Amino acid sequence: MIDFAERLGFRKQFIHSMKGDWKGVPASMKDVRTLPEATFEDVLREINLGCLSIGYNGQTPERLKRQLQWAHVFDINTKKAVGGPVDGEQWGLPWPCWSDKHPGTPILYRNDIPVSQGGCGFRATWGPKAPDGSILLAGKGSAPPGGPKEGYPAEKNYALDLTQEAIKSALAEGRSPYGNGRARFNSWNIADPVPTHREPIHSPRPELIVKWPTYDDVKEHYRVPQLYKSLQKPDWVKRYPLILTTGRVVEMEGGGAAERNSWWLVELNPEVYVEMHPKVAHDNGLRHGDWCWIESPEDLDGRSSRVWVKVKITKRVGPDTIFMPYHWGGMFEGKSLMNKFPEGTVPYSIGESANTITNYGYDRVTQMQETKTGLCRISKPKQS
Amino acid sequence: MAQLSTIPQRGGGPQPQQAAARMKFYVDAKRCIECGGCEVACKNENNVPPGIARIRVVTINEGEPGETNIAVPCMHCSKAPCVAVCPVDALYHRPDGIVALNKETCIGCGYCLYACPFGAPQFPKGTAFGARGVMDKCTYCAGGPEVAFSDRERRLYGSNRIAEGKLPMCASVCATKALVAGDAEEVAKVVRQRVAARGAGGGAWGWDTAYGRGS
Repeated sequence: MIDFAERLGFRKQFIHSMKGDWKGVPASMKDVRTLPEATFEDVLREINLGCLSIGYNGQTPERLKRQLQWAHVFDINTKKAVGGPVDGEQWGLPWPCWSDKHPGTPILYRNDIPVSQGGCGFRATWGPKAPDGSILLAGKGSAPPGGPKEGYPAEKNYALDLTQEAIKSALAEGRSPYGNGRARFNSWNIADPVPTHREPIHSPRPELIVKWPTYDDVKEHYRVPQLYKSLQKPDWVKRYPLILTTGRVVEMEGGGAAERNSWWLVELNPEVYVEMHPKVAHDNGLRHGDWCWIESPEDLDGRSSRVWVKVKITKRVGPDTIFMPYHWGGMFEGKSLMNKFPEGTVPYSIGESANTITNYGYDRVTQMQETKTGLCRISKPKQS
Repeated sequence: MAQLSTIPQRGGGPQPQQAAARMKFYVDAKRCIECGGCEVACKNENNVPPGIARIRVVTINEGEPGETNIAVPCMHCSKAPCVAVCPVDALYHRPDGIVALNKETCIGCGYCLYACPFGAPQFPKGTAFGARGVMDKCTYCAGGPEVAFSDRERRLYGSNRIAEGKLPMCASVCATKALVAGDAEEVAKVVRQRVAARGAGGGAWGWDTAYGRGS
């Protein structure tokens, strides 16, 4: 953490606590391999202070160490301590853990037990009222016992009061410091206040684009431009007639970089492929096991991207869709990148990356990439 | 051939002093999700040679309604055809019902491969027209006819979990408990409980309601 802060330029602020600079921290983290144990505790205390808003203040170094010493008293099913000095504590002190006596909150929104025992309301994030006047505090009877019987706003300044007095006074009255509100359906401050269908930028249904168009281009969203309408053309599907969807295969589970270094997993799923319906394959003159190019619509550089992959003929996809697993890497547009790996690190399996052909498109609010719906076409190399 | 284990009598008749277990596999094809956990766990636990699948998930009707997955290990048959046809008695029944192989006796004739309806016997060193080499198959994680936990046993047969009182690795890791292993009576009890609680077939998962049919 200190190394991180040093690289990002705020080391001085990070290692300065209310009691002065942390003890034993070297001048630079560049070649440091070990630190005094007190430093780890200081880092956690810094986190305790910096995360008051979600109640990450009760997980002090002392409490966590004590839990580890008394690990054997924690019930294997409830994860709650039975007896000992940690009696009643929840393993790991899940947040919100509002004080150094709080047991932690393993299940959010339990309003049948008091806040002091891990009860919680729904965080009153948006204040007591919506812009249209709707009440955003919890209704009558929907509150943890020991405090008010209905909704209440967050304790004033609880997240910024480093003395934690605000949190303490809320707890003393049986209230959750971050309030007891209600969820909202109308999210008035984001692009689509209620879920609204919009056709993807690269839509296979031009007539639906008219009815459900995508967003206007965003000039600047968290410092990057995000394009939508300017790229949504009804004739993409004429040149790229197949839907491209990418996803997981169970053997590769995660990103793939680690899994492709496991002999057992690679033996089960040795190479990247595309799943193609028999009709599509046969219309394109492809047989099971043949290689082909899959191309996707021009990106911002004006070129189709493409991947060189093997065909798996299966009815698991419909005749309008091609599926490609995303766990591979090490090949780019047909060329092996093996020589770019450090010595001895080439995985057992390399292959084209699905992200080479996933289409441009990012979620309007979260900037998540569009990997599930895009367009593509098959290009079979000519017979020699 | 070794004696089959004694099965407890019901009703009258002499009761055996101590009933030996009869170890079995049961695979619920309605629960298997083709996760491959059993395949990977087995290979890792027993260091199975490349190309050999001591347990394999078989998928039928892939991509069509009624697609079914079922894990197929050696089924340790009560009247194993492989044991019956082996010309050198390399294959034998243990008292607990596990069908075991003695790799030192095996001559690689391949008769067991022809006889087995499940494809359990496999030949790591085999080629299409050359000599097959010694057979390898699922051992129910019971090792082989060597001293338990010895280096030799581990190298030839893989791990011996049965001698540790554990069940085979595949059934231990099955994500949906489709693959159940253990004494036949215990396994039957589990299956009975499942059918009583949920029903059988697709009805067990509400597929009758969801898809309007019983599969």
